[in-house]
Amino acid sequence: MTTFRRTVRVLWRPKWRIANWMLLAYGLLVVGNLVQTGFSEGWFRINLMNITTGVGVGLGVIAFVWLAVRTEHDWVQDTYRLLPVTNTRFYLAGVVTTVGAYLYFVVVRLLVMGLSALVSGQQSAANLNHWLRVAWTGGVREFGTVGWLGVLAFVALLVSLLIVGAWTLITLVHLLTNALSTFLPAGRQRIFKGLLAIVVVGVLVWLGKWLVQLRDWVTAAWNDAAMVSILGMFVIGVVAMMAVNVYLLKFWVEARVR
Amino acid sequence: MSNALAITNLTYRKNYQTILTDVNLTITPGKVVGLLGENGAGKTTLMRLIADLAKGYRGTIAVGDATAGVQRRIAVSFSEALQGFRPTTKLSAVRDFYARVYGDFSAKKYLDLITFLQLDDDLELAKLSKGTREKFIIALTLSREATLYLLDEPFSGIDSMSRKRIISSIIKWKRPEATMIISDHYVTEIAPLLDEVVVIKDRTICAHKSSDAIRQEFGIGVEAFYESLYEGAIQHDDL
Repeated sequence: MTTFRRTVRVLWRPKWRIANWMLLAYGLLVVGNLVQTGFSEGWFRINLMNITTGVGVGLGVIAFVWLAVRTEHDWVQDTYRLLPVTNTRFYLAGVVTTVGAYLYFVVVRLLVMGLSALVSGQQSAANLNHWLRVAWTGGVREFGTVGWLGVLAFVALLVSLLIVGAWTLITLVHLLTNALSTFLPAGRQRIFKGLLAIVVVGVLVWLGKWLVQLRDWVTAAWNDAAMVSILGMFVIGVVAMMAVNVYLLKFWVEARVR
Repeated sequence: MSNALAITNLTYRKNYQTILTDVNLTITPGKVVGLLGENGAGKTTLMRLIADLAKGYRGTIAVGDATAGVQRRIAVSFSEALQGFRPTTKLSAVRDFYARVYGDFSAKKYLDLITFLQLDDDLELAKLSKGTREKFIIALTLSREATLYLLDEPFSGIDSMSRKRIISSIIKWKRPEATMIISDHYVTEIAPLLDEVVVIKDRTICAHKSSDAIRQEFGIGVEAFYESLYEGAIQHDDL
């Protein structure tokens, strides 16, 4: 049987390429912006940090979607479904490589931003200080007993869980559609998929509202119990969706016919 | 000694259509078996079910003693279409992928096979003609030391000269105890290497006979037997 490590290695390569393409796009955008600012405003007025943080805001979303598409393809390709590995191992390797590739993209971008802040010197530090002050006074004022480090850890964990949860949800919708469509006549697939799209949009709207409520509830009173219960809820939700995904892969979802 | 393949009461439905029903099949180890049937008869589906690529069936499928999906995937080498690779992937990268994930992949056998099939593994997948791509798939599939080989229309697109050369030598690429199931429309050409023939008709297996028995009982070759079954000249009662 193929080990988890080897499964991760073979699933990693295509996703690593995607992350590198996105970083290349980011690099090109930064260079393009530098040149444009240099010509229009003068080379001495360039603030590298402003450019590295300002450009390519949408790249994170594109990377997220591209990785999701690649991940969903992997679940239904003969090449991968034939691997002599359990469905649980295969699924987890898929999730780990997707998260890993995204993390790689984010970390490299943050490093570039950090380096550019160092290069930009005092002006950037002043800018950063200004924005932190805006965030502090205009946004969250009171962190209660938790402290700002606790809040930072909570937000980081919550964002990570939201990202993994979103990929897991995409997979769940994909695999469920795939599995359920085999029970319908071939001619009714479009109607079914149309209905499913409506249901999915409905669920996403409801989920969005719920997340806003959750944010309001947490920011109203920062405390350990609220944060732990929210994180726990998310963890349980993600793990439950993952379990359903593995079940679907094992018993119902077929590889695509060539 | 257990059977190479044992299928019991297999029924498979998809999109409200019965693709295969009440399939029962037992194949002993070491045989080369021809899986025959017209287009859409269910040959590919049967192979995909054996290889654990198709799901949601009723009945049992055992490759050797393995009935669980993952165990079957370990034992089976299936001629897949290489969908998971980008068109610009070099053949050597596909080889590395196989070597990494399949413990039974033999690098020596692969080298012998690509030499025999005159393949340059420095080429990219997109640069291959249909026939060369099929040759490469054959090389990959047979490079594994599997218990059961499933070759789904492996010769389509390959020129007749190469096809004959591959068919005449295919048996030497498997261990004596390994079993090979080949589905192909070039029945006359593959007939000499077949120990047994399985014919799928009307969504089930309507005949499973050894090539020798076909010649002895009906006095005809494999292709004539297959055609007679489809045309109704040989009835189920005659089998």
